[in-house]
Amino acid sequence: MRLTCPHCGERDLREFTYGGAALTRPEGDWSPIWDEYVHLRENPAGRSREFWQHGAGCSAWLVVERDTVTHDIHAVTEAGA
Amino acid sequence: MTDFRLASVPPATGPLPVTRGAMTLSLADPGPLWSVAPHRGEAAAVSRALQEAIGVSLPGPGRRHAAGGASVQWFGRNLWLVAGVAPPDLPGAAVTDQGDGWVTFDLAGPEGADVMARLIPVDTRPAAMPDQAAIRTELHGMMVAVARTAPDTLRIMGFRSMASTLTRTITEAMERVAAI
Amino acid sequence: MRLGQGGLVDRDRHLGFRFDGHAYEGLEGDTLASALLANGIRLVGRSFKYHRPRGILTAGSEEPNALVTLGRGAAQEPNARATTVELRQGLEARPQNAWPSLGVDALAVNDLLSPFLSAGFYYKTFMGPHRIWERVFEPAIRRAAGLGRLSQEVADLQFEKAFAFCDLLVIGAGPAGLMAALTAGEAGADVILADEDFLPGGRLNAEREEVGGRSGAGWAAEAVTRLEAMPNVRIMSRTAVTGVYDQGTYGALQKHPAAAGRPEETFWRIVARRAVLAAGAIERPVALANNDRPGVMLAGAVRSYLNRYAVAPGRRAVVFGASDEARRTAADLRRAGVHVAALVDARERAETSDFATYAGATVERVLGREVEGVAIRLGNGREERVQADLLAMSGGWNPNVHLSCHLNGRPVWDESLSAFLPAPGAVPGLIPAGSCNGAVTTAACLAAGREAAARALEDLGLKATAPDLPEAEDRDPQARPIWVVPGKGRKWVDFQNDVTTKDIELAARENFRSVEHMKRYTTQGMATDQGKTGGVTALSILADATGRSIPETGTTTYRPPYAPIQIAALGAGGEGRGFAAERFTAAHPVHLAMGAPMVEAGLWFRPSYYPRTGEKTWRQACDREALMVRETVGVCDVSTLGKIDVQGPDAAAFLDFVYSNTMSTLKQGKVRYGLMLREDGHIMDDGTCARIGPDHYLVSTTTAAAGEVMRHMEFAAQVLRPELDVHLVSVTEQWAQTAIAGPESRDLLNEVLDSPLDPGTWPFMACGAVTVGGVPARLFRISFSGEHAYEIAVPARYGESLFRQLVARAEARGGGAYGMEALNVLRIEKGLLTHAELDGRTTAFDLNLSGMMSKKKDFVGRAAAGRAGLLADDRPRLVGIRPVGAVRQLTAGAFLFDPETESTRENAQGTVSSVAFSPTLGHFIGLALLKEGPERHGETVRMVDHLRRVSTLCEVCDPAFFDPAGGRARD
Repeated sequence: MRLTCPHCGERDLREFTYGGAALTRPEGDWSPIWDEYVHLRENPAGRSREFWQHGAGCSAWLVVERDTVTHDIHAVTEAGA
Repeated sequence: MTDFRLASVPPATGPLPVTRGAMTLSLADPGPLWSVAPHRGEAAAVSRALQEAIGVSLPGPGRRHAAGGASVQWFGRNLWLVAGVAPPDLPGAAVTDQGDGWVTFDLAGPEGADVMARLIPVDTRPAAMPDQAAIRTELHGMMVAVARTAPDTLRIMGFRSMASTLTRTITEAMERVAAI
Repeated sequence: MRLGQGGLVDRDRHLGFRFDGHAYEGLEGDTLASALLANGIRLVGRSFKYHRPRGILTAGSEEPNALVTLGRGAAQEPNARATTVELRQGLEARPQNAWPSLGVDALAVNDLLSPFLSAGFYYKTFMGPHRIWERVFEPAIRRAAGLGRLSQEVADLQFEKAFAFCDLLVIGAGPAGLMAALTAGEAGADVILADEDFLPGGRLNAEREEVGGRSGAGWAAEAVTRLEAMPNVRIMSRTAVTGVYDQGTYGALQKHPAAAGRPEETFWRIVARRAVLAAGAIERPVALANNDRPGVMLAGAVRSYLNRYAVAPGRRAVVFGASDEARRTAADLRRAGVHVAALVDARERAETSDFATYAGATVERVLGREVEGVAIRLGNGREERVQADLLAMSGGWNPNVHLSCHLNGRPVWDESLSAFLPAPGAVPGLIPAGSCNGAVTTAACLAAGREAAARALEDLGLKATAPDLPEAEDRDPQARPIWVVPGKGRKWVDFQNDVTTKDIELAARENFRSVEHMKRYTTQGMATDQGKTGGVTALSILADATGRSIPETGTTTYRPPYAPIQIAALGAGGEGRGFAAERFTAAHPVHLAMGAPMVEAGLWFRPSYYPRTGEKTWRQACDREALMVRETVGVCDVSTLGKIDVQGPDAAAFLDFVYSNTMSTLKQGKVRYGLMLREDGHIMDDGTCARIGPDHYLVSTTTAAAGEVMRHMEFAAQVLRPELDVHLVSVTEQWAQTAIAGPESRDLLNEVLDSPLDPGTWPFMACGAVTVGGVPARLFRISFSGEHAYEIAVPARYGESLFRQLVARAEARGGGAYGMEALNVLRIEKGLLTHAELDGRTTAFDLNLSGMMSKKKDFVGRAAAGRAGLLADDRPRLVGIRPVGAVRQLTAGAFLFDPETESTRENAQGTVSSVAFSPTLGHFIGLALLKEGPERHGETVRMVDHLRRVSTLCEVCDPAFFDPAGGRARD
């Protein structure tokens, strides 16, 4: 797999580290929303949004939108942007 | 204790330079090294301040600027590495001494891209990585920075603690390129 | 027999080689197979299951039969295909799977037992009592079946891996591939032309056919010369593209001609923006009785041996096919002086020729142990026998769709060609062209190659100049497929795994009707050749047997690698010290000089202990070092701990978010112990945090977690709190850090500091800048031993010198260096934590650190750590234990039980995380996680180590065994 890092351009998978589903951190005390955020994951056959870090490159955390069936990469953007 | 002195020891690369075929690997001394991370909205001002103080501004991603004895190399997300001169006062940035954290090699000769093809997953042929290009990548699992500092010279920076593994790994790749 | 003239071999370069112990000679340009045939050898090996004598079937990488072992000793290479082995001087090859010899093979008796060894026979052996399988069947099958064997020794061979990048990867250098490469090369694209042969040209080298007014081979050679002159084209010969991966990544295995210092093979990862698949087609054998006999050869291979290698594979030949190619084969044979005894064309309307032609007839059976003749079934039903030592057969051609299917694409059946073709768009960016895409003439292949390259160039934004197409053969050979010839006898489909038509029919009868089930039941296509020659034939037989069409039957899944790859190539660079980087601290030479055994901590190497004369065990050294710290002073290299420089206007707010406790209130010049939690509320790591300036902190991590903590903090900074202006830089490598611990630590430090410490301004947990020998350094008054202690950090270049001098000065005081073992003893004596306790399952509550979870702010893990289940009293929580029974030993990993209960899993009350012999206290001590632990100080529990068979009674106590009030560190 190759991902196009917004800083570094297209790079090999080995430079990246998977960081789990791209979810938004809830606020406040523990709640079912927190439970979902920490523990529950979709396992989509199709489009997914994931965090990846370009750890061996520029160290940016990225959101990768890709298809788990076709392996197409739809978008790679900076996570904090 | 005024008589107490500390000796400076270079990174443990083993004997360098080594030449294999048309390629030579040597230990480079880039002088002082410090990283610069501009605060929010300060990149342009920091770039100007550097230009004034040391004659080199902040390059864009994947690039390196050099002038006189100083150079500034893109080093990652919102991060640059300044080499060769002592740091000026840069109130708009986080400045961190990196002068002892890295081992710096120069890989010189016409087959640099062939050697690097065995080491990193990035195309370093001049068309893809022209003079003064600077990238971050991994070399056999080790985080490195690679820059083309001259048409026939690739500068490879890795962690100081990995100096001997880097030397061995790069030398082996040079040997194979020379043999093929 | 070598022909007197012709061929693409160098008749002036004679190469000596050995096969099966005998010396032979071949020519430069030969493969091992062509050289064997030139020497009249056609029995090359024995088959996998029945030990049938086998010869050479093909002239390419699809060869199922002619497997040999190359070389001798540790470096011997089994299962090399003689048809792809480039002959070289001194080559040594041996046949496989034959005992005592190739000619007389004792296990050929299996062939007589074949009625009992049909498809799935070994599954049926599972049906009896399992002891019979284990004791009788399995050993017998393992002994009898098989290919070549590894030496089981470490071979002194070099392999390597590498990356390549290009605009266009052209796979295959036949007419389509060469034309594609020429088109793209002339347009200025960055081209890699990969071809598995050592001579580019593909079938052009094997046919007597004109291209552009000259021989096909001549045109190919000239095309190669033109390509070699283009600086933007790389020709990679001897390179098999083995796999297709996502986003235009291709695996390819390049073999190198032997030379001193040169690796055997390079495994390439080629990243190509576009690719042209010009992989050609593979000829099919006809399933007819005894079609596996030495002397039966594919017709295209016969032409290869005649035309490319100038070798006649026989003296008297029968040609069998259903295509105009049959006459071409016959003509090539006759031209080489081989008598064509019969041309058998299954088509009713065979081409007219002056050969002894049998139209509408089939070769039904091969006669002889090696080919002595064939039985021909004529159209009128009569049988006629013809003497021959060579049968050149062709059932048709299978387009080589393999690589187009690696991303889960399924090939598409083309009824008019009776063949599977690559599904359009099966691999993004890969354009099939030429005979792998159904072209049947050379002219069509050339045109398809040019067209595919033009399409790729358009995608790449380059303009094709469209080189002229040379004139070439464009007559359709009017082929009709022949799958199976009716009649009695065993007809081989998968030659390498000894699968016959009967096995496939049996599978269908036993209801293994799905093609995937049939494959597994019969092992069809599961040998090293992956069924390249017989795969589609097997489908046709299964289709017949189940009353379906071939496309309804479907194909099995094509997976990488296309051709066998030695594990040595895939794993190149990862053997021995290449497995992982080795990280050495600046003081590493000092540790080695002092004889310290080094222990790996992550990638780092750290000293375990420093043995002294007279010490016989590690414990003696460890005890001495620990006592030395308690009594005088010890020096320890702690450079491996992770150090992260945190700067920026929001540094304090950021650290409040990632630490469970508060860092914004920390005063400049002070250090605080901190906990970082994961978002699930459990502890991720602990360490110290020093405030160096108003907006400048230094975070320390444990050695093993440094990378994880940095990644976590970057995630928190970039993703969770992007509004904070904060910068993280690892300075682990920048600073060499040494701990100086013990009652005399300040005195030792003052020996080396440029100005002595003022005790008033250097209380416990102070930090600041000092100079040592003129070098600016960072000093931290922190303690992991419970003693008055410091850690001093200098730029790494001075690390070795400082450590050496501190050790010498400590030794002068009666102290010295201490290693990881003593460090561990000292911290256990104090009840301090490492990742033995922070094991990913423990919380701050479990480790009696609830007070470190701030209630005044949000932090990572706060919400989850507040869950009732993580604050329940009966959770295993940190305690100390000391043995009070007859046995005085504690072991880490042991379980704790109430003394009265049985030591079974459901009765377990806790586990022992760390143990040490305390030389200070004179007995073993341990840290443990015990249910309701803090409430049970003074109680007795039983420790049981079921693995090491140690059991003892223990008293539960406070985890701080030594100086619980902490006065020694503070004073």
